[in-house]
Amino acid sequence: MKLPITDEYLLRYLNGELSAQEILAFKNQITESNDLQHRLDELLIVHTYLRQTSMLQNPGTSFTASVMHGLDRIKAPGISVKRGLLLLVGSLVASGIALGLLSLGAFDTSTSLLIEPSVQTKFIEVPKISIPFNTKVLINGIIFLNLGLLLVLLDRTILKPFFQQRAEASH
Amino acid sequence: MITLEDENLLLDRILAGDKQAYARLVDKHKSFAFTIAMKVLDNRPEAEEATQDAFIKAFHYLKNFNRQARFSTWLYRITFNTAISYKRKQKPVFQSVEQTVIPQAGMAEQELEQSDKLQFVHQAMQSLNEADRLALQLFYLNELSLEEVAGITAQNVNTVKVRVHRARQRLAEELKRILKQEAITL
Repeated sequence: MKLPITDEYLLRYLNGELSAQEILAFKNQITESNDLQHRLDELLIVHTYLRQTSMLQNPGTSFTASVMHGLDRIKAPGISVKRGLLLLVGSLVASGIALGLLSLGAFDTSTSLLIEPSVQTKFIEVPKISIPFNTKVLINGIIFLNLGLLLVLLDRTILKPFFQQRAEASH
Repeated sequence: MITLEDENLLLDRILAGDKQAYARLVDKHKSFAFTIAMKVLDNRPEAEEATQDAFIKAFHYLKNFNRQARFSTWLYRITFNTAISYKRKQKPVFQSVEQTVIPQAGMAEQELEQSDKLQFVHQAMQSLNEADRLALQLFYLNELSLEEVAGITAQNVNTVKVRVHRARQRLAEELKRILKQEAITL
């Protein structure tokens, strides 16, 4: 009985996945068909190329030493030292400016936030809502948040790497 | 030669703080990891850097390795992903087919013909899409199983199977086309 030999079957043969019985039947059939033989040759060239180019390659001789040295590299999670320092300086400048303006009395005025209802007819009068709003309090809040951010940045970019390095050195 | 049991003991020692034990794991897996990076990047210095990076990442995340998979599969997956991220940053380098070297010195005529054909397969490799090419190269690398390739590339086994099968068929077709064209130009 003739086997339905497809590309998949030929590739299984090249992969060495066929049983001894299947190989025997396959070889008998392939000798009778030039087309099959031709197709097998094409796939065999590809198979040979892939096997020849699949040899393991070795990295440089100092590879392991470089990796072991790299293990000591301190990585600040998520934020680089350069970027952290820039943010630190930026936050300091912004806080300084805000504090300067605050001490000069630039935010001493008190305003109110007026909210006008969108539905206003002549029959129903919806009262306007007025919320007293102090700019000075807002600026103080921003400065407070900024100081918190400064502390986090200081910890991530300077303090943590410094103490980690000290701990590594003492090991 | 490190057995699987030795490897687990090494991992325990590393996790207990014995950093030097990691050097043995690096020595064991460096060639394979480096070859994977080479297949992705096709650039020796970059592949070496990506592999080093992968080993360092693996060390830092070792606590998260749950040992359900083999350490090698986990490490090769990190290497593969690191190499892919290096590839994204890589500027495209165009290599002409004439520049690709397959040694031909001292070959008989029949061997030369075979070598020519291999050169054409190399040319045909460029026509494959990257995912198919990588799946195929990993499958042939040290004869990894489809399951292992799937583990490294984070793909379904059936997807890898289709990719490997399709890639070889395409290569054969492309080779046929190139040989036909060569015959016309001769």
